[in-house]
Amino acid sequence: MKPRVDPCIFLHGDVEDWVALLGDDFIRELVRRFRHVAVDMDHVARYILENPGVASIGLRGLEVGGPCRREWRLFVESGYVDPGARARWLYTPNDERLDVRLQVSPCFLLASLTRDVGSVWRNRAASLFSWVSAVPRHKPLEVFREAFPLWLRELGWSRGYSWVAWTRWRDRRNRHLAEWLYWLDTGRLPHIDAIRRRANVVYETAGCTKKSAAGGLYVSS
Amino acid sequence: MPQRGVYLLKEVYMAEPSEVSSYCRGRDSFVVVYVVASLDGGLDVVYGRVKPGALECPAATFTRRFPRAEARSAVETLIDFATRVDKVPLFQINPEVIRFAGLCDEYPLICEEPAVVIRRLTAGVAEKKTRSQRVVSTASGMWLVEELARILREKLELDGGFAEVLKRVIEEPDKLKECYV
Repeated sequence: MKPRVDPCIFLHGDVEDWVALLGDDFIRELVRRFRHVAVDMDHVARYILENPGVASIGLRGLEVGGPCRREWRLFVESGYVDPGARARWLYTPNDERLDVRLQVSPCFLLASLTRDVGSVWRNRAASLFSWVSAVPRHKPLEVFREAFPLWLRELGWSRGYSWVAWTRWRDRRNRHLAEWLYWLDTGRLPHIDAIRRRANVVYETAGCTKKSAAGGLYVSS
Repeated sequence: MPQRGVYLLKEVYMAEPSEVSSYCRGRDSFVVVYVVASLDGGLDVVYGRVKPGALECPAATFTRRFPRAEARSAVETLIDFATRVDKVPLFQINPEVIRFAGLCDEYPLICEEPAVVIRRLTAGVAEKKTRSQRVVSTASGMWLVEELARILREKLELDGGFAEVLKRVIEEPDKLKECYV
């Protein structure tokens, strides 16, 4: 099995993208491993999207290759996903500062909620806990859509995700925050959209990037 | 060695291997026990009270294999063992394992977010209160009937002729109304 995408696909609400990027073998195995709760791929996808924490449990023991094999191995063996941002955004220079500490990608919702993972959430995404009491493990998209403050969502709508990504929190850029806003609006993850829709055009993508530097491009739709 | 796999208990309720080491010295050493539901394809769901790690104690692992399609009943069996045999409280169970097994309907208190549980409990308490108020009003109605019966019984004991009055009232209640007109 050689998926062309990282485990973040399990938070990406487009089943066609799952099929295209994971490949037939992976999809068959996924359905087999979740058939106690789902009958077909659509059911499996819905179940995992609503309960992202189950993905790594269901995949334990699976051998995964392909370009993102390191991320997959970490995910399958220990239920861990890197909290770093994946998407690369079009350079949109600005000096704005946002008082929002959200330096964790939404992909991190896939990580098993161990004590260490909990501290990463608390330390790197402290602002989230002004809006929710705990990291939601069921229907996180719905929970966060209700919880995120409107002014922040409106920034994404009015100024664009790239603009948000290049604003600052202290000395850091808000690339993670831009991913959140994109995910909340579309239900999809920007770097996976980039792989699916724009990879062969002008935009580069950070498909399974651990360090998504600012060199690449991504334009919010 | 402790099993690799997904643990049934939440991490915070499991002991560190170093904590149990002191119980494992000498002749009366304890044995750390793991019970494993092993699913086809490499998923082991492990019940044990000690976290995986370098363990100085002797360990015994009991494994039962299940086909992948029976993941639900495998996890259910393990939960039954933990809660009924080992008397582990339900809130110590890892909700992700319950969700994976599709057992949230059976164990809603484990799966739901704390806020939802509190909301449900509050609603439950309110409902119970309403129900008990209803019961109280029915009970007070019964009390009234019993009290009336007691008065009538006393009246009958004092005056046997009163039985004839009662009989006529029961047979012809309208006759009583006429008395008041």
